[in-house]
Amino acid sequence: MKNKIFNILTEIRPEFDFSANVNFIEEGMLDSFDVVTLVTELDNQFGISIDGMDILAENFSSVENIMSLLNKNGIVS
Amino acid sequence: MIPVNTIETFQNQIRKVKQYKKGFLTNLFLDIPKHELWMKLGLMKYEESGETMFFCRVNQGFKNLFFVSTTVYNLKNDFERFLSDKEDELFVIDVIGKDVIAVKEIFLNKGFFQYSALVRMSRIVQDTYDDTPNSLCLSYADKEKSNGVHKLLLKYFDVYAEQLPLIDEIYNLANKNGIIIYSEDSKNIQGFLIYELIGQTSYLRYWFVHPDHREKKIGSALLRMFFKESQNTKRQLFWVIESNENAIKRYEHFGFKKEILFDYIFINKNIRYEE
Repeated sequence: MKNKIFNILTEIRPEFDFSANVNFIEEGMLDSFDVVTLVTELDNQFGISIDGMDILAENFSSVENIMSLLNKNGIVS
Repeated sequence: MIPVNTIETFQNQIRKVKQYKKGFLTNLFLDIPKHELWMKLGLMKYEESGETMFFCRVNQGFKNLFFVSTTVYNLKNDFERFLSDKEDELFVIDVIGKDVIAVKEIFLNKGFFQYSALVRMSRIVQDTYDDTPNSLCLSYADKEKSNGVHKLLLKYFDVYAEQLPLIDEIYNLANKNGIIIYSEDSKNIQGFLIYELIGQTSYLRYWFVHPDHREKKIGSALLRMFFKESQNTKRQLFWVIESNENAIKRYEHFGFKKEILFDYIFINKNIRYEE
């Protein structure tokens, strides 16, 4: 699951290193347009529909947070 | 239409669309500080139509229209229903993305005209350092100068195409040293540049030289200071009118490249953007 998330993030923003231990939003690596793109990709690639209440920047600020969101939607590693 | 007073209200409406589990099609990208300000000022409303939520931001004599929907097919049908009792209203819609032909067609087929198109340009910057001194005419805007900048934005920028910031947004930017002004006499503003630094990314929002003061290298002085302020970022970007080939060539000279990301602006009035 982690690798898939990395691939999606790198596809969206190839110029940034998503393995770094930083907040992707605060570091300007993902903007609001990227978050929407990310939600769509995660929905499509994992066969889920992320709840509208969960579409908050903080849920996409790290690979771990994204994994937690996927766990919440029934996707486990 | 129903007022949107909180971010939670807004998110609840998105939740309703996501619960259909049929897709996620939107031109609304949540920017909490900006959208909370709109809500606080009573500028945001919503209306549900089928599987689509339409959000309006009340502007100067028109409304910016945003949608959150499931599919192109549903957006098309829901938009028709949404418009049916709003014949006298003026709407501006931004359609943003890489491959949005089908969405554009929805609005073109319902009496909307393409007013303008913007393309995003960016450059990836590595290890730059510039210690050349700035022009003495450059400084950061304080509150008083922010008022002057806001007046110039309203006078010289296009209200339909540019999504002009509210004065409170301008003050917020000035507080973060995000407004550089060029002033030869510390009173009048001959030019300004507004930008935001977010971590590794620097956004150039607005760049302006007063028409009476062009060809004096004011624009390049402002841009050089923007580059200096952004030298610890990795990516710098901005939107430019797609048909402005002169501007695009100038930016390409600085190493910027066009992305495959466009912002098409539609309006239900037969007018076109004029530079």
